[in-house]
Amino acid sequence: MRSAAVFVAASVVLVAGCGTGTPEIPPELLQQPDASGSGYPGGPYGLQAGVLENLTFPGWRDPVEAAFDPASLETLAFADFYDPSGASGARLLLVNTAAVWCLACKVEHEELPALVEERRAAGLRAISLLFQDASGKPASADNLAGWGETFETNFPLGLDADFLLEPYAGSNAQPLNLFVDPRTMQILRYWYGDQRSEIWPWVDARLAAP
Amino acid sequence: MSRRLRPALALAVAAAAGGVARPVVALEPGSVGGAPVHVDVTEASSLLYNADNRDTSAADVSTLANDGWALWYNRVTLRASSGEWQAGLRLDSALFLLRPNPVQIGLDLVELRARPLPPGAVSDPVFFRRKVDAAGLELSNRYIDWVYPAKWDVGWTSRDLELTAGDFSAQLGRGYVLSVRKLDELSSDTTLRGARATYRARLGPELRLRVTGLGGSGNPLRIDEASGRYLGVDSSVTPSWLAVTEAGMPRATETDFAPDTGECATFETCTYAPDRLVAAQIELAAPAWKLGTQGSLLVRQAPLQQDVVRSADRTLTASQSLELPRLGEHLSAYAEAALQRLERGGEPSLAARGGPSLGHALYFSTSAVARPVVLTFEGKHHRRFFPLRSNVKLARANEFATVGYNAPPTTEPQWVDTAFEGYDTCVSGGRLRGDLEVGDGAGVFLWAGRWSTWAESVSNERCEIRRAFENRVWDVASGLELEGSGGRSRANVTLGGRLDETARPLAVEGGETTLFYAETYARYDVILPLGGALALQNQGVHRRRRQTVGNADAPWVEGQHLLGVDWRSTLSVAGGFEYDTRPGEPGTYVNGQVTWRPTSDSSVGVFVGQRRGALRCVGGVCRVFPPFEGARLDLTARF
Repeated sequence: MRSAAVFVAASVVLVAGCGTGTPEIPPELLQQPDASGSGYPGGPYGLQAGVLENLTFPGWRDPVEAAFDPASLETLAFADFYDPSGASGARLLLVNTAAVWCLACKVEHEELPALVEERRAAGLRAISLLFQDASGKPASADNLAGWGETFETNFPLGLDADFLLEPYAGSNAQPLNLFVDPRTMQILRYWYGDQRSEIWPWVDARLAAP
Repeated sequence: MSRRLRPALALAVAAAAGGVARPVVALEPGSVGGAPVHVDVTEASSLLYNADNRDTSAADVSTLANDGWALWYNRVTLRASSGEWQAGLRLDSALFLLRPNPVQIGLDLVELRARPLPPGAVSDPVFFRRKVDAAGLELSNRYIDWVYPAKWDVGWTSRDLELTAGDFSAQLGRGYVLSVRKLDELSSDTTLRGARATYRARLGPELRLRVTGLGGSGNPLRIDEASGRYLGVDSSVTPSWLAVTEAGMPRATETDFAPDTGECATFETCTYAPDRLVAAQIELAAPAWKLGTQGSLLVRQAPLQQDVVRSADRTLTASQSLELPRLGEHLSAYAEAALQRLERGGEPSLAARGGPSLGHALYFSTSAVARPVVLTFEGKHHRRFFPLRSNVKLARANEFATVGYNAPPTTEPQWVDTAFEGYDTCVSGGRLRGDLEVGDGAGVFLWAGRWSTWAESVSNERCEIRRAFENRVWDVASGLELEGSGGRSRANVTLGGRLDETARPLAVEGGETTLFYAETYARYDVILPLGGALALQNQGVHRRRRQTVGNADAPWVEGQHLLGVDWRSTLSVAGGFEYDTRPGEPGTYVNGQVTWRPTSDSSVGVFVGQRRGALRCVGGVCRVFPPFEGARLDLTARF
């Protein structure tokens, strides 16, 4: 017993004062991004509530029309879906994430294009972002093309090779299904995993509400 | 290893050596009411250094946040008893000697970023800021120092009555209704913290009655030593008596990246909302049979994860079991039938959406023993029967995903880690095993299992039985077991395979397939005496795997092999080699370990090297362990 006490006391003394130095940040990384002129709602931005931060991704607005061609990637932004007046008829935005290694993501995408298409007239919009390949490395444009062709994705499909959505859902909480009000870009609900028996009744109720 | 850690390691070894060299005697510091007080102290200490575990993925913060950290994890357990009274306390301490820095992670990820940036990609400053934010959030509930009362209990036991207040383990039936217990292989030790009473009575010469009632809040271990993550609660999820059961337990901490919102659901480091559970069991037993009726009610707080199980605010599970240990001369059998009702707002969770209001499960096992042949059959039939998972915020504490309060019996081999997604919630099938003794200490065995599941390759919480949802699974194996030299030599070898096919074609890049998963494997464990007090131990697993959906495109092999020498069961030295040929994996892993057991109650173990990440399963409960690279020292002593 005395030995254990010595061990405890000695270890506490030894680690006292341990800490981590803060590394220096190169000045070029401290530049503030230019957020002027977008008209997008300002921060503070949230992860589970509050406003969805405007982020940009390479991708296709209409993947079918672009024939899933990696050479035809354009810049997608959450601001593309921002519709404060509701003029576009959009009432609900689904932000979905996926990875090639993710079984649940693939299972979900077998039906996701049809589920979104059925609700397009009611005001559902969607964007899906592919972030990693089969080995857990950043996804490529070719991965994105393969994904879109395999699942016949018929809504905006983007490449999140920088995994910008990681704060919303890390790689061990995939897929993410985040719902946003396009008139305010406020986050409404979110689900981790393919929770379709929970998600789609809620979507239908939301779209049916006046 | 950093210079700072070396002296700590040396001292720890010295302290342990002093501790483990003592004779093993329970302390008797005095007496209470004339009965002597016995005190046992068990000290278990681990010092871990985690280097770069080679899983880095550019842009993925979590793969850098698990490098370069060191932990001293101490568990001291005191148990005292005097006459009919017992008491215990386990105090856990986690002290992180090294931890990653979120700014450094951001800088490293900028360095790793692929160039040139594609059109539409964010600039480096934006990328850096987001990665620092993500790393700060990731580290907000990792590598935090804690000292907390992991388990405590006070008990009173007489011949007929057993009372416990505090933490206790429990299993009712075969685990459909309730199962909270320690699983060392998974570093898991969930208990209920509350009260339990068990009453035993003889109703006749051969008729016995046992009645158990219990209630409390779920108490999983709060610190995961494999990841350095902790489970935190806040005052919004510890109302009324939960404030007592959660007293002294790790709390959600506010950081620059995780502001305290006052609500656990949106407070990022609040990752656990303690569940409340009451359960009861009545068992009636005679020599030829045992009848059990058991039920549990799980009451949740607002869900921290929006899935069918965790969104149910009340889950009622009840079962009836019948055990026939001697059915005639050669047979024995066990059967259990369970019902489960998930409620939300007083209504069945899925019934309003076309699903059934009740789920059900059946388990049956029987053995026929006619030496030299033993036949065992296990079967199960589950329809919308869910595991009672705890209310954990998976997005921030996924390492605790498997914490739960029941463990439906599995009919699969114990090590199966390939029952994917909702496999077990909607499944029918069974496995037949035959063992044949072919000589003194020698036997061969063979098994074949066949299951159909409707929730593995589709999300099917309603458990709709449609051909398009079906996966058909075969699992076959055969092997031999040899034992000789009075038990000093032993060999177990198993060769097996598993085939999992969908009834519908699956869309894959470039076409379609019905192959969902396939595997062939060899497992072995051999001990050979080398003469004198030395023995050679060789154990390992080799697997050839293919997973069409959700993994590498092509088949891959993986495995681990350990070769060691054991001296008088006191000192063992072993070297390990592991491999995984999937693209993106490091490929090979080597390690070495030394274990010294000076007494039956004490040991010192040193592990140095690499270990691959893996999904480890024990009896149907699985968890993902990240790859490890570094060193660890484990000390155990009992006083």
